[in-house]
Amino acid sequence: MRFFSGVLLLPCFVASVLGIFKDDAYHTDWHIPLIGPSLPTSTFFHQPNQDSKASLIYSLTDRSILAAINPKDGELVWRQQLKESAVNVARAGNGVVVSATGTSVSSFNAGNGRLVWENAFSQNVVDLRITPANKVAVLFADGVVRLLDDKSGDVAWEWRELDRCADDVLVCAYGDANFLRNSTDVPLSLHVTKSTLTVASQSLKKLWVSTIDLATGKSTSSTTHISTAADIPAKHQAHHGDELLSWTEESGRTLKFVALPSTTPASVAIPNDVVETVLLSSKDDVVVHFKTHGESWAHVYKVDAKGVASEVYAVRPRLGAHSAISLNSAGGKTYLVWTLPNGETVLYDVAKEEALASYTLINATEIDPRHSVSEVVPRPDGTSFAVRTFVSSAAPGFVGDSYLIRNGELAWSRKESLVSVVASTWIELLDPSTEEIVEELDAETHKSVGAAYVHRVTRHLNELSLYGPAWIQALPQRILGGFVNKGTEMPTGKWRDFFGFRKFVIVITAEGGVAAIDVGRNGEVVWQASLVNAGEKFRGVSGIYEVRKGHVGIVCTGGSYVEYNAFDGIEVLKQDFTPSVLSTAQVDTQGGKKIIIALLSNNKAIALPMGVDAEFDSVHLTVKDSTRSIKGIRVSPNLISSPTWTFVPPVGESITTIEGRPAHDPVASIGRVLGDRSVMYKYLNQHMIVISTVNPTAATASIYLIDSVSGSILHSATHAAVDVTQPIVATVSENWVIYSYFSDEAAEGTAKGYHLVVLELYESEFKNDRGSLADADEVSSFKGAGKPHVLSQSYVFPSAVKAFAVTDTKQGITSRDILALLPGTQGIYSIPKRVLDPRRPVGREPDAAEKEEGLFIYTPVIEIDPKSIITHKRKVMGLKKVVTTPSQLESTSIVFAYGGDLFGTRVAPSLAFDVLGKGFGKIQLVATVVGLTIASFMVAPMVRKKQINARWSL
Amino acid sequence: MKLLAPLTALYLLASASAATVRGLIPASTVLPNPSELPADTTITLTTAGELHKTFLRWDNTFVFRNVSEGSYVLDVAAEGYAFSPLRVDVGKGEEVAVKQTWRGRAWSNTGESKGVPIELRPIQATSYYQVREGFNLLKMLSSPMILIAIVSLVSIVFLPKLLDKMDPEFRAEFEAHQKKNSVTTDRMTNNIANFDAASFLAGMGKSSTPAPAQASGSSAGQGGNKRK
Repeated sequence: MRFFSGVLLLPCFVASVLGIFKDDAYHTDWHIPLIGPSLPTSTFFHQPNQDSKASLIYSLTDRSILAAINPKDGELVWRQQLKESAVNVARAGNGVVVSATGTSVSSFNAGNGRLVWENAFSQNVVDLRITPANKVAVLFADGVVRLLDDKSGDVAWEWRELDRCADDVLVCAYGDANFLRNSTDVPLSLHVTKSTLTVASQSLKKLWVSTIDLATGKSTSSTTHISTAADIPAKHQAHHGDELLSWTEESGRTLKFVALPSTTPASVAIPNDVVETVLLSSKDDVVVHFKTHGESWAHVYKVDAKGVASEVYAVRPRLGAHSAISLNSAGGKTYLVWTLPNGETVLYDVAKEEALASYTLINATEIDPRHSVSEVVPRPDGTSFAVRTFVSSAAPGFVGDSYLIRNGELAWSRKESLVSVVASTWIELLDPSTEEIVEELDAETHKSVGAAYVHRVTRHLNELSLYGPAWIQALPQRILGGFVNKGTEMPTGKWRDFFGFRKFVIVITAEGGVAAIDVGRNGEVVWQASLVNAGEKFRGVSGIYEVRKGHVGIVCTGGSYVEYNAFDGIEVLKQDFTPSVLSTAQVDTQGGKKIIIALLSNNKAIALPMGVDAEFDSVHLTVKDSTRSIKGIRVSPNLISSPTWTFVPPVGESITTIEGRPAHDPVASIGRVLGDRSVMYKYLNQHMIVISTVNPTAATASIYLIDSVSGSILHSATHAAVDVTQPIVATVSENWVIYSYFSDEAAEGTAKGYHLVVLELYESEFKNDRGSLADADEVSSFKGAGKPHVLSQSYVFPSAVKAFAVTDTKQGITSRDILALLPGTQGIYSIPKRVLDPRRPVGREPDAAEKEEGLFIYTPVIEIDPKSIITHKRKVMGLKKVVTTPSQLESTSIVFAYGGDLFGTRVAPSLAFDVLGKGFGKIQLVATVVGLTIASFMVAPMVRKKQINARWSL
Repeated sequence: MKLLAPLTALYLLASASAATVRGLIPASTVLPNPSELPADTTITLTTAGELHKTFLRWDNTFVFRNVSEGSYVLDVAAEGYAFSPLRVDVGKGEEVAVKQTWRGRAWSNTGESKGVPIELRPIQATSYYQVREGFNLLKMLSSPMILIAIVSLVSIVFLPKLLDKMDPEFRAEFEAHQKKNSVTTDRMTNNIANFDAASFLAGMGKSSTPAPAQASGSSAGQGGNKRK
């Protein structure tokens, strides 16, 4: 019996977790791998191994992603997400790339990205250098220098002589003199020569250098100071080359650099209007690059054998605030590559003043270079060059976009700025079949029945003559196309496709860039705009909404409202106001329009766009005051805001997340039909929010379900032995809540691991009963929406969950899938809601009625089946949020994920029941019909003959 | 390894007392070449408040340094392969004990002890894709409905031929037997078979057609003749 029911259940279970078809993968989904803005000193061209001729671009980004980019096409060869940190350094070694993020140092195989070794320490890394023997010298924030072995990463020796003064000593020996101690040593940089290491540090407002023997790890000379004036070092470290140390003096108007081991610095005066100075060096060539708001230029210096620098020439200023210079040595010469804001590249030899070559960029607009690296190869003829430059952009709103310019041609670009997408909204595209006749349909509704009928018939006749011939002409092609299973071409412009798979998603980056992404056309960026001007800092976004057909409204936290035409990105409206915004909500006005209500930091509310007279019912907003309090605020129709309730969790708990029901959350059935045809009524409350809190001292996590209008607590649950350092994530939809947390062994005999909990809310615990709501026609939060009856079940899940999303379909008839965002590159996992069903019988087989209801026996573990990973083999990285929207097909929900990479796909939780799949054999069907027809025509005379013969032979 | 010990000891003194957990993914029947695993193969050690994460190294080993005392779940995330979780206990004296564990079971309920360094073997290779049910001749032929159809087709086509080759006496006996069995079915089929097209076309009514009893008798008598 047990076996039998298991077998019986298996097919239905399997059917509900059907995965991705191989022929759909890579067709219905798209993925844009991103790494983020490259860091200037940690980006370089480098050969993956000594023998290889071609080099790759290696880049560590401010998202702590180390990546190898193919300079030919801009594809990622490999990438690794390192521990996210503010301190990121990467250096090239022989066959490896060594990177330091925060306190850990790791070495990766340059060819395939496999880890060679890693090591972690107690202090943050300040600087890292590769020694000639391929070992790794690391300078830590506490002044310790460690040499790490190239094979294992183990510490070969340690040098701790920088900070010889204990904190409580007033007078201590420093270098060759005694000093009154009033500041600690700040380690700045590490420089490596053939056999020595030089540590630069700042103490007593002076710059010091100490030299260490590489072989032994002992100081070779006493610490000496090399500057006399008060300095602010560490501003300008050398990008390339290890023998140069540079800094600006306290005035900010003098740049000094010293070519180690010399200790006499050269000084360069910085003109008054310069806003940014960059120093670059390659061996004994030094370039100082000045940038003002309007132009930029450079000075080239040569350092002689004694370490004295002399100016060779100056490059004449060119217009444009953003430009980038990079140095590259090839064939015994050092080249200077200057990339201008319009993408123009100028090539110089550092020994000669006149430019060697200049390349104008034909196929791109402003690229606003922030920093660059380049590779110059002189061609055999001696006069022409192959120059390729990797440029990271500083365009306002889109910081970090990267470009590769090859001899004045834009070879490829990567939209790395979209790694920091923080908010998004869906935009419905127009239906080509109704959009053109909107006016005519409007006219029909305003006519009498007879006139409207005549109007419609004439319109149809007109359309027949207008579109008919073309339609008939295209028919054979369409039929043929249908047979060869050629995917239908997605329309362009502002039109949606027949199934509504094409939509725009408008995203906002953390830097204030707005971009429209076409999810129907593989994530193509349709238009982009910036909410900030050059040099301005973006203060964040409070709300982004589709305000009316084809228009997107954005409320910036800093106090502005901007409206764009969502199809072409043209700014329609911009309004500024003060002070900043706390919270926003979109409401329907009585006239059927949509407006945005923004609650400002002075507790006043405004309606956006300003100046429209709109009448609306009062709005209830939820504002998180602090980690200890959440407030409910009511905004009345005359825009007066008043607090209605405050939620303060019990002592010791701090609020981590607040989740509400999605704006589009249709409910197909208000009850759940049981096997015996009785009904359990769902507790449906549009104002339900879920708040999660953690208590670090007691190691507990709590969940509170709250009515956001009345503030009453509907349900709460507390879990013990929770890892409070890992975020608790929750999602709400319909009448259920799902959340996950990591639980330690709470008591003897309990499981350890990640838990998924489902709560389902019903109006009553009894069938066919509405509990306290009785036969109320309407339920209002004001009158008390009753207390729900909560069913819950908990499951063990193999992985942490970073975020949840729920599939969304047009009518909500299709069953739901819960999309769980897994960490690392594991992707997005979809769990059917019927698996997370608290009515699953525990410890026994389901009875006949329960089977009819579709329930199966409770199993405590939900294993990850790779077939249900909707990102399948794609390596998605850094995703933070998943959003869903319905398509025109009830079966299908469109998914978009952002926060790192960008990923989009379509999912059909109950399978694609309303559209023919790719597996439908049209040819087979037609062949069968044709075959049967032919067969019956052939057989018919035979049968007839036989019958006649039978008669005559009687 | 021994040579490095003093250095490691020095290093350990500097940081808090913590153990090093080492392991590898050896070649196994499921995974003959572990070097095929992608570079982002991740191994995690998790307990409340602590999450250690490392990538699989180029030589298919992994090392967690500075693991403090505690009881950890070890998980592997590798593309294309499923691994079972392990329980890793790090003691005060930095000793490491590894045991089999199962998700959803009590944490204290452990399986066999494993050696150190930890050897991880995938339990199975996993597939990311659903196979689309296309036209499959073998599968179609193995379906019972199709089998029944084939058997009946064979009996219709080949049985008469078989009968012809049979011993005349046995044949007569068989026919007699069939006659008995097929009276009812014959009656129905012969109604159609006996449709008199000529009389129908001649405008004669149904009354002129032979009576059913007669028809069945005559046609049954002709049964053998028909099949020539």
